[in-house]
Amino acid sequence: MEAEGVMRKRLLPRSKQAGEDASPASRSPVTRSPQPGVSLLSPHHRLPVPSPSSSSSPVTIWFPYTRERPWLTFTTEVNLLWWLALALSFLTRFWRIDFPHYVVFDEVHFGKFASYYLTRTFFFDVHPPLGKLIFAALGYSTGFNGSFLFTTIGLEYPHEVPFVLMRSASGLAGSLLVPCIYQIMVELGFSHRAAFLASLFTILDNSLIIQSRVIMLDSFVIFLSYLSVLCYLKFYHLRHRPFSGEWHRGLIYTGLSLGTLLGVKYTGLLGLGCVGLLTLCDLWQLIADTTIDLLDFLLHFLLRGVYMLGIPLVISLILFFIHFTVLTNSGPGNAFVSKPFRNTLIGTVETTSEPIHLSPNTTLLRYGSHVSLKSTDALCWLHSHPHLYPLKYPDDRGSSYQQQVTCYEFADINNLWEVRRPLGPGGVAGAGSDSHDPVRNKDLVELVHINTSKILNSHDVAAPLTPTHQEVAGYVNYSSQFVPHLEWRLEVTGVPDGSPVFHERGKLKLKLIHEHSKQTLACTGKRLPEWAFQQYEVVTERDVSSTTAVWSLEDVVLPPPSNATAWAEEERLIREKTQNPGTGSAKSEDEDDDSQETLNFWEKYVELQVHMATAHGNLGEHQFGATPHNWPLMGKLLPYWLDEKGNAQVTLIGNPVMWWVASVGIVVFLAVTAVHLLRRRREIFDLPHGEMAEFHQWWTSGSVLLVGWLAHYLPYFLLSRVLFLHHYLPAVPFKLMLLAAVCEHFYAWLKRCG
Amino acid sequence: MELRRRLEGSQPVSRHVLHSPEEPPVRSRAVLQRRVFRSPLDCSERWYWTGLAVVTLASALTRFYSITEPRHVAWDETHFGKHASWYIQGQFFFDVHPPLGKLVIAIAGVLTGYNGSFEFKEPGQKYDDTPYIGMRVVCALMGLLLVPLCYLTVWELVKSTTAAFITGMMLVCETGTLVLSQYILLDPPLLFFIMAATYCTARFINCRDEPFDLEWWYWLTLSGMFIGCSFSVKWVGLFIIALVGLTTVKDLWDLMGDLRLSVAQIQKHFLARAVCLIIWPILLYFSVFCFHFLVLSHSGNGDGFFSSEFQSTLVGNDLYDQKVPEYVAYGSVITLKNRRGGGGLLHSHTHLYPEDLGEYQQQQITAYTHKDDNNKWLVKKTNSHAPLPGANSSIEDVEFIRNGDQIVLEHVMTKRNLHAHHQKAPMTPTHYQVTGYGENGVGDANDIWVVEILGSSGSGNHGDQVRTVTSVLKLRHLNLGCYLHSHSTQLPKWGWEQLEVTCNPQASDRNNLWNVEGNVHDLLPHVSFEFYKPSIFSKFLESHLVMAESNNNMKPKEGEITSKPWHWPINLQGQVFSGGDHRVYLLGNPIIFWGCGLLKILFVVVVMLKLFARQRGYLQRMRNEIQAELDVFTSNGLWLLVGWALHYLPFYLMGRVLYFHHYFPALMFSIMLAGVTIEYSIRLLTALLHPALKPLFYHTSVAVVLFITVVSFLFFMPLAYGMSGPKSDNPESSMYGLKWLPDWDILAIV
Repeated sequence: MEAEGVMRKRLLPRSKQAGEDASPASRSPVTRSPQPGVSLLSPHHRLPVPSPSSSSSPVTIWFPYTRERPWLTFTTEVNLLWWLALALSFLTRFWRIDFPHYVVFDEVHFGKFASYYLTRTFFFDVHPPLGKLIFAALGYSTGFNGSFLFTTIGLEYPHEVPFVLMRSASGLAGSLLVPCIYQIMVELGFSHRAAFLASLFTILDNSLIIQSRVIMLDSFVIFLSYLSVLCYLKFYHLRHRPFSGEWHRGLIYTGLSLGTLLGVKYTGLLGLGCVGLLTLCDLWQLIADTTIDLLDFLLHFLLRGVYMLGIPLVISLILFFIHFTVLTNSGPGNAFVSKPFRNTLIGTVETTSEPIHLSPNTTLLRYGSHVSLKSTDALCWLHSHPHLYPLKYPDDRGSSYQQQVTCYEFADINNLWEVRRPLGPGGVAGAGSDSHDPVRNKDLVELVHINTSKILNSHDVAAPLTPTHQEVAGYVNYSSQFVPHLEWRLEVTGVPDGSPVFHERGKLKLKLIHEHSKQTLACTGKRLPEWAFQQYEVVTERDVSSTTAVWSLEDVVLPPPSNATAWAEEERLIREKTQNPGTGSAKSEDEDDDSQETLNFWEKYVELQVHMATAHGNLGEHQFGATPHNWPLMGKLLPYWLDEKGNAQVTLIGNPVMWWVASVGIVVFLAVTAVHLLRRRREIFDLPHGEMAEFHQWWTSGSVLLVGWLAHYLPYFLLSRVLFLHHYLPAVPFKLMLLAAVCEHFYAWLKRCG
Repeated sequence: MELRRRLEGSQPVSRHVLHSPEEPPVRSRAVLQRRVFRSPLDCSERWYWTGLAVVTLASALTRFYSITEPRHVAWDETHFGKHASWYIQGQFFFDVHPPLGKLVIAIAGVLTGYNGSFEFKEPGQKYDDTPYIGMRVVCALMGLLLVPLCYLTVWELVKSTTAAFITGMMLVCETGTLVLSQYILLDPPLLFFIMAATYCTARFINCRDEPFDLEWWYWLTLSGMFIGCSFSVKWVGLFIIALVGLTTVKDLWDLMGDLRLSVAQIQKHFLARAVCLIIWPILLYFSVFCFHFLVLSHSGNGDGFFSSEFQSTLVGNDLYDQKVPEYVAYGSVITLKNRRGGGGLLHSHTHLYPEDLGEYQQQQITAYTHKDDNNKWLVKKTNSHAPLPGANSSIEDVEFIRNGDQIVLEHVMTKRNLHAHHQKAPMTPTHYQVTGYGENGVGDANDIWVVEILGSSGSGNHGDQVRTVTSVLKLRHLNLGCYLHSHSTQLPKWGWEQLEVTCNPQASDRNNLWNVEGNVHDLLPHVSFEFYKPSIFSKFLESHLVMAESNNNMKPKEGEITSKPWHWPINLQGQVFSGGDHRVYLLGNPIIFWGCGLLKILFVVVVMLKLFARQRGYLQRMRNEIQAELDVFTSNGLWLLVGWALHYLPFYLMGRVLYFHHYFPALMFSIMLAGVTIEYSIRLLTALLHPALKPLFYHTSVAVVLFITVVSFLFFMPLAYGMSGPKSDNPESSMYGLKWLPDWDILAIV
């Protein structure tokens, strides 16, 4: 350790390996610290360098040393502390990594996703692919075929599942975190003593160990977050040589580590934010430098932006390209994506409950058809099911207690409605209700729910979530005060009144105007509570021009015609009639078959990103969910696995001594800084000034650690989804480093006193 | 005169010392001489007083116009009116807000002849002959004073009559503030105290040149008083405390940097502020509570939220004046109170636990904070055949319950026994479930509980009897060895959001403690004995525990329309204040809201440009006057911006249900910032013009701003003053055409 200190003060130029051009290094006026681990240094520094003054001494030395460097020689320097830390971290992370032989906690998800990659089955997950691809690749390398689906926690691993190898990927990332921590401390200007202490804290933190031994993404996230901070700090120290090759390389490394971080999990945005903050501070300092003109400054700004945001974007595109290339078979992810997206997958089989009856381009819509209506705004189907609205809402409003009508995002047999003529008094033309006449624009129709035979109704009762609107219900005849108002006027825009309606799947947009109230059927896009299974609310809307009121006609199933040829002839005639000049038609001129429409890579990429961004909020409550304020003092633990036979268990728990002390350490840091600031305000300087500028180092480096911790912690307070203790882990090493910094500060203080 | 002295003698309020160190600010020069353009309005004292008079008058006119309408209970008047009634009648109640605001309303009511007899049952209830006007007038009076306070504060900050006048008029024309000022609500006192504290702080800071003289002390003490008052109305007063606190810290920081001051002098500064801004408000807050307890001396509907000891101080409560037997005996019908702060009474009802909680679907046991017949439990012997003393038994047959006895508790209304079994509790999986079990009082061995009395030494002697209220009990389940437990976890909707009751295997948990609150036994006499009466201090603490808990439990109900903080600055959604035949809608004046938003952005841009220019060294090259003027503008604007942020951003962190009216304290700061920014922008533009055009341009621009403000008010006025007659989608209606945004539910008012 002493040797290290001495070396630091010498500030020797660092040269490259023999044969490489050493000039860029020798141009550097200051080398902050020797490389940890092996560093190849010029051999000169061990020898007393003869100075010009010594040669001018009166005594001539007879046998001077040769100043030539011996051929084929190199000198290494081994930082044993660094190696010790690395060894310990590997030891703690890998020791008994095969235990337990059962599926632990979220291995359920990430193991399963790896299996899906191996079977090339399309799935949907809120996290980007990189981490899961790594697990899959490791599985692939051992010949695992993805047949094991990691269904429940506690399932025993069969022989062929290479779970130890998969866990080792986490273990490797977890082990490499430690040298990162060491080097970050060094880059921040702390002593090697402090750096080793911080590494030791990280090595001995139980939660980080546990996280490095399971098939989960967090270990990667933690490692890459710190790697990107380290890369950035390395880059920062090249600031006196802007736009040099090394400078660019530093930025590229930062961009790469950020890119991989964001490729693993989108919580990596916190890491990006952390590095971004540091960058902004750096740029702020650059503004003050009047030797840089504003154009150069702009270049500084843009280059950082391009490298730190551009590289991650490119990586993300590559990863999703691989993702789409690998996942060619349809699977559980189908339900989450659109129809054209599904068409790109092999073997798309629609769920049996969704009757797909593809009509050729345009078909006449006839009475008696079974149709499903999709809200073009909320992208869900008009739905009903045999459940009633609750008698009373929590705010004491009453409902009609009739059958719920909702909007449901998934294809379902309960989305089917029959279009029929109204049966009410005076509603029926002589043809009767069972005739399959064409439906004409502005006709009055009734919609009958196929499965429950309830008729779509609306009445002057406040809707469940939007009391300002009317409720829509499946009419249940209680012979009570609720009079049925079942008639809806079907309105297709751009088609003359009374013209027959031709439809094409998904292309025909229509509105249903409630005849009694003159309001229009609409989906509000608000989710109903659990009594309606979190489906969307359907109401009638006063504003008939509202975009929420537009529905598209999706499936149309006509009962088998009694006289098919007569129907076809009739349809042909009507089609000809409607296509007469001067009359518009509902039919779209688009010729290509909608059902075969596919998406290209970019469309798929965008669609999936949107789904991933919106899916986060929908996770429910969890028994072991913990709120952020519980985390620093470890108020709630997270059981990962419990042996069903014995007492063995795995629980996520931090090292309580260190967590608590480190949490106190943050307060101590703030207090010490406050005391220093106050005393300096009175012009009392406690810390040595001089070239070290110790207070400045304490203040800036400490702040970096504090800001890192805050950046990985505070944003969770704003999230309303369910959170777990392991979400806090990326912030933990910052806290531990700060603790090491505080320890060093007090050590130095004691040394000065004593 | 006084004003002139202050105007010309004082330095600009610049909290950032941005001057370069070699060029100290010229202290003696008057503010006005630094201006790039001097409006005659700003120079004359006459205009200052005229402006103040005009805005105050305008405020009075708008606030008092049609104050009697609607003649029924509007929106939250139903709560605060009720509270005022209870104060007047002295009936104890519980509310999540501290008492001062409601006390003010109650005092207003008393002074104007309201006797507290109106029930304020629900919004829309007709007032008829009730003298409600007095309470509305007092609230409106405080709402009225906001305008002159804003005017004075802005003048105090930037010393510009024009800016102050614009601010005042904007506030007068802000329809949302107008609505909030016209009703019996907590908002008028709250806003008034917040603004008063802001003004006093600004005055105090301006006294910095003559520390410790009378004026200095005066404004410091008043600041302390008003922050104390704000906090005593609603806990959001904490934000103004934060603003004053930050200002004081900054002030002290500046003082510390002044090396001419000795440490002793700085200590004196510090102590003076600590006493006036910390201790004095706390005393005030505490004395408000003392007054609250003093007034509410009678039992009321808030009793159930508080401990038995607390209740024993309320006249009319069963525990007051010894209306219960001293000891509990077999055959007593008791209620059991959890001893946690805000703990409920042991409760059961006919509803069962839902199916998915395990195989046994038995009756729910909860803790409930209201008094109810479902809280009554009959104490029985474990041998269910043993007869209890009947009506014709004598006192000798009565057997008292002693420490260590095994008992069965039968729920009186449903005749099921208190029961626990080896099953996870619904919300707390580490505890056992407690249910109601059995038929007509016959259950099984899992109904047996052991009474443990805690004496002063931790556990009582064997043979001690259970005293009403004073004995602290634990009930141990005989078979499982766990203890009857209740905590603040609420059950979901199936449990009516009552508190969960479980059986806790950990014996030492503080929430395992219960006491007998009600005790009815036909044979036992009501013996006189001394209850432990809590001190005023412990009453104070206890009510805070209960308030904090209720505040956290104010979660939005399902289906309720809730407002999100991001809706507020853009005025996305208003609030229906009154329906029926006189319809009122709380909505900010959109022109002012959006204008404030734009000006805020403009201000932030200016600050950023200034910081950039300073960092780059451009600023230092500017003319001194411009620099100084920019300093006054940015530093004061920043203070207002921080005030706005402190009153607004914390709402993002709150889990409780939020409403639009929570934004209005922040709005005050927003409007002041807008006024300051507009005036500064106009002045800056004026500076660019030819000298001959300057006055014309300046005054025309100010007039245009004022004109737009007033016209927008006249346009949106109908929302605030309400309307009768046809619905708003009818062109005849006065609200026709005001629905600019789809979410403004103006049409919905029926």
